[in-house]
Amino acid sequence: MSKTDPTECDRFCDLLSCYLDNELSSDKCRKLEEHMRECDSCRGFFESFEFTVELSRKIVRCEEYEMPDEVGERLREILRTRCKGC
Amino acid sequence: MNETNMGGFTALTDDELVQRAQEDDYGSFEELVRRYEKKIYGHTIRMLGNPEDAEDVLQETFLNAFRALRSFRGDSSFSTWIYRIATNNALMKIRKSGRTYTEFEEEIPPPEMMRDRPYSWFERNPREAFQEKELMDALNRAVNDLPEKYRAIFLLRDVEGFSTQRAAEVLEISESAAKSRLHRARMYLREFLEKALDGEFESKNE
Repeated sequence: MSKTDPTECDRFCDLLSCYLDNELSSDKCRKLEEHMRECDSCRGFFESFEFTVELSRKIVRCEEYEMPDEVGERLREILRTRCKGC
Repeated sequence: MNETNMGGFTALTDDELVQRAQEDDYGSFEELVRRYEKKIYGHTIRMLGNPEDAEDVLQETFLNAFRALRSFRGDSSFSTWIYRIATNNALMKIRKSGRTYTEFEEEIPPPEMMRDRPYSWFERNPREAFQEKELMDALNRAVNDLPEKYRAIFLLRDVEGFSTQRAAEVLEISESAAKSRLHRARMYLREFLEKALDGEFESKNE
């Protein structure tokens, strides 16, 4: 494992979300990528962090979170009863 | 209330529907409900973790929206507005249930506490060692474990795919606060997954 300045590793961690969201300046991006090439530990951390975010984006497709038809029917019925003609 | 014929709604924008609904066209309001009910249900069930509470909040959200529609001035989009009502209602529900985290600092460690943890679970290649369902189950447990204000920003940004600006508008916080909360939420989820999957990997290989 390569040796890097721990404070640089701290700064690296703070920037990971902005890096993944393309919210970093090109200069900061370049420095972060340089650090990742040099520091095995931060590179491993980044890969697990990125994996977590990628996995999170799949939650939206989970079937258990889809609205059953009857929930929509009950909603529209309640709204009709309580709102229509107000 | 007057009603526009059903066939004419699909071509209308949200803004046009809102305007018609404000002029007492109930059919236009119902079209807005149809456009957003599934998204709002998905958001509330992920916020609350159970279908009964999610349905309550869904109904409450559209009832609130109907009552407040006349005062809606379009400062934000209808979509942002309805998510804001739903998120606030969901947060209220969590607080009323007593499952609340008032001292966030105690509930979620600051990022610097989560940096130096090992990531052995990841080196075992979770894509090969676990089925996707196992990974999703672990992640869902992690999300349910997140204190609510972190859960809200995480769901809006990473699950619903909102921009930072729009998520901040929904939550009525600054963009920098939104970024900071999101980062902490992601760090927490990464660490939760690490512990959960490490444990499952060990038990699978005993």
